[in-house]
Amino acid sequence: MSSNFVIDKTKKEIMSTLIKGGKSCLITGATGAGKTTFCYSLADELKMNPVVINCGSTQDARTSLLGYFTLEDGNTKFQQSDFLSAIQKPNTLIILDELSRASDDAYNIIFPILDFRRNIRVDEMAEGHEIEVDSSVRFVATANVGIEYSATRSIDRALQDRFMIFNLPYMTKREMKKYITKEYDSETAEAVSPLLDIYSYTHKMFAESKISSRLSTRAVLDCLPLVQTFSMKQIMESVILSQFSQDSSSIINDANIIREYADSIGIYN
Amino acid sequence: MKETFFTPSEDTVIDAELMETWLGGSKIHSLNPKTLYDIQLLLSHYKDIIVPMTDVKVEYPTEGFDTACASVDKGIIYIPTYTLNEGKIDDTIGLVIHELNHIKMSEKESVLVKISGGFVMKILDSIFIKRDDGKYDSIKETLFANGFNFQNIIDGKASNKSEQFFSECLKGVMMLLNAVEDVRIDHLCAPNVKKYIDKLDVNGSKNFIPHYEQGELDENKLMNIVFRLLYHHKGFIKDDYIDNQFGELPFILKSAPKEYIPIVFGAFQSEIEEYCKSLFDNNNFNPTDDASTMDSFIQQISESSAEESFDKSLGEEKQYCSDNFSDDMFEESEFDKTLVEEVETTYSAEVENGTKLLVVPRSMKASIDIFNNVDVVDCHENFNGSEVTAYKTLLIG
Repeated sequence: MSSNFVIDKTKKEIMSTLIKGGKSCLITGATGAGKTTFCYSLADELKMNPVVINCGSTQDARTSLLGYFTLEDGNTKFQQSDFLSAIQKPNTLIILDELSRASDDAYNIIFPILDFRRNIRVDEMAEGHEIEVDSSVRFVATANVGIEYSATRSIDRALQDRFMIFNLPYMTKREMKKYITKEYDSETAEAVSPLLDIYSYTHKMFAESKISSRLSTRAVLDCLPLVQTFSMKQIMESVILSQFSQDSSSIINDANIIREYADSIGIYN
Repeated sequence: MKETFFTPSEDTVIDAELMETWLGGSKIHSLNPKTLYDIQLLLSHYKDIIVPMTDVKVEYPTEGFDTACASVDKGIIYIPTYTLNEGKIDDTIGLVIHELNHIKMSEKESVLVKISGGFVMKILDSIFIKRDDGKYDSIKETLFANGFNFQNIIDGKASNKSEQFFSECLKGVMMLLNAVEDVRIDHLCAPNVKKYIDKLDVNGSKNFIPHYEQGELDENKLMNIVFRLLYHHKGFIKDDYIDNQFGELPFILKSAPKEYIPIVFGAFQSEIEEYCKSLFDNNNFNPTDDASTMDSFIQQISESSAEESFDKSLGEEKQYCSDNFSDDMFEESEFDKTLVEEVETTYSAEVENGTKLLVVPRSMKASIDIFNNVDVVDCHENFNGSEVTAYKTLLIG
């Protein structure tokens, strides 16, 4: 993973130091802000092996986090989950992605792993019920917070206490441009400049409660391969504006507010 | 404000060609109250585009405002609803952008009034009125002898005929200055939204040009100059007089109002003098509450015109020329006594404590205005052998 990820340098160093010291970190921020990408960059910097556990898919928590049974030669056999395997594997950075979408059962499984006990009781296993977390394994988690995220839930206070919490804000337009220039090239950064203007405008308007959602970092980055082939107007209408409310019964909707701005920067000329 | 609702007729022609290019394929087919409200709300967001770091209100008064205008002091723009009601949606966008550009680029009205007031007073000091005893007083002296207080002008509370007369003079001058400012800010408008300004100009010029070409605005009166200056510098006409007097568009574009105001006064001093003198001679310094000088002018032109469209055109020009100058524009401003004193002492030869009045010829004063290289020298003369007379004279450096 590239080290070009743009974030406050001090914040990143603090997180690295804490993780090295055995602390777990929770990175909060809006969707598409780059939380997961940032976790990968942390693993890269710490020279650890990242393993992503998607907590949003842990509705059957025991199966997802602990394992499942298979039938072999007429007998059932317990198969450890990726998560269970990972916590026993040295030098692993476990990324608990979308922790705010995990179920209560998942929380209960994760609790003892994250506190001083660093072990987990697995009744399904035939041999020995306790699995110890390898001493070199570390944890980071990501979570969406805020009223935008109706599918998420507030994270249990006890679980929050097991993390040091850091907020990862959306990148500014300038940071985005710097990132794209480093990851791609200056021509691409220049070509995508109108999208960065729109990105910045949606964030301003969202902060002032004038529109109900904003363009994510991920959405802009996803458009990068399109800028060489399609016009900015085509990208706007087909990709960007699809992410905003377009109530056709009214002229005043989020999409038209953004179109108005897009016109002012020449996209519809 | 009293709530009134106007529903455009079904026959109203909707002109939203530019807006519809970005409206996501939608067409505005009718202007029912909800659509009108939604459009107003949508257009209000131009403030987030043009002046994003400024707290600006966009208001759409249904009454009380004949013209679009902006108060830079208060951070409010007023867009009367009649242009939308007439179906002129692109023109309304043009007005919103134009007024927001005033907020972005123009000087506060309170500052403009202080500066312009000083210059107007200077001009009034060069117009002399014969008294009953055969001697002459300048209009300025006459005003001060009749209870004139500049603070009341700044406060927008002209309380006597002198102050009302001065307000009328100032209004005319402010219209001229606003025309210059309109030229400046419209030229400097962000290129991607300038198309709305250009459309508004084209629509206005269609009605103005025929009357200009028929010579109806040939006379070098202040109000004619306002329109001619506007359309000359916007490229719709080639007016030799404007070109000679104030033809440097690059100068307008690179100058702040504080820089070009003295030049405008110098260029059109004779028209301003004539305008003020005409107001004085006609005893026209008791304005009614709702009839501005501009309104009178428009009424004159309208009555002489057979084309209704030209009335409307001038109505639109009125939006341009009277914005930045509303009746409440002086509210909350402070009287800068120092500035007024400075202007008075710099631009006029004063009578002080028994010294004789030294009348400065207009030609010399014009030079003083423009080149500002004159020293005021105190002189003492023994004219009749018995009494020493002190006076001031001017030396051009």
